[in-house]
Amino acid sequence: MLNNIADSKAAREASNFGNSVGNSNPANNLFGRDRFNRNTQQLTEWRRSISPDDIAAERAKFLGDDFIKIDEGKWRSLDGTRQFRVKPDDYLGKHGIGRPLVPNTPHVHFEFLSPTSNGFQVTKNVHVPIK
Amino acid sequence: MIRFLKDGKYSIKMEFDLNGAKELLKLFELAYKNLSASVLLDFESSIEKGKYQKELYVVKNDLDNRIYRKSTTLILELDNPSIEYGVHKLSECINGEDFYPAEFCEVSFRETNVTIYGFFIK
Repeated sequence: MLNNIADSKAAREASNFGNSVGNSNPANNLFGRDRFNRNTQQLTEWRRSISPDDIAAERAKFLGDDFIKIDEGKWRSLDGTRQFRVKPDDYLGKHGIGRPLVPNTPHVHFEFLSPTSNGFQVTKNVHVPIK
Repeated sequence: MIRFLKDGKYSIKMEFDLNGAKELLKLFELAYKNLSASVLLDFESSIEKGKYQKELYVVKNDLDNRIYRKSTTLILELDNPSIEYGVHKLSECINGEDFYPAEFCEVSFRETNVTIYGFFIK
């Protein structure tokens, strides 16, 4: 598990995945920016919620043993296919989730990623409320 | 009305009504064509404590997304995918839908990644 070395230079240098030594192709940068587009599936899981105490366990279950902290409130699997996100605004419910929109709902994000030339495309974004 | 507010260490709120959505959409469409224009911001717009911004420029920048101010001007630089997504979401708002999900994009602001959240005020 690499989440405890997320901010170190070593972690960033180790973040080029699936490439040969010395390849600095930004497409393979695990710290690349992720983006939504019009094709991103936006889903809300109303059938379940997670407890604030279970967030770390849910993150580990989703990302597996090998993940890294990308930024404040954002963790990514080392293979670059999954991301768990709970930014302060998500945790505090500063914005809503669902269609129709239910305002001010604390939640976390389970996201599926696909690499692009300059980062990652979020293909699916699942919102799960925090109870 | 278009209002940008630094809402936390890692977040900026972009609030707008229907007229604001139409103005923002024009800006985004121009930026997509590598053109730029500005719109007036709500008088409360501020991304730095005590500094207020009066107008907004949206500019294409394929290297990175970032936001910064020059005096009373707010400059939002976005790459192509982010501009396209903005056009899509703003068009949805003009058609009566919410800006959902609220996360619009991540941008660099003073060497920190902050998320811009969109709020369509109906």
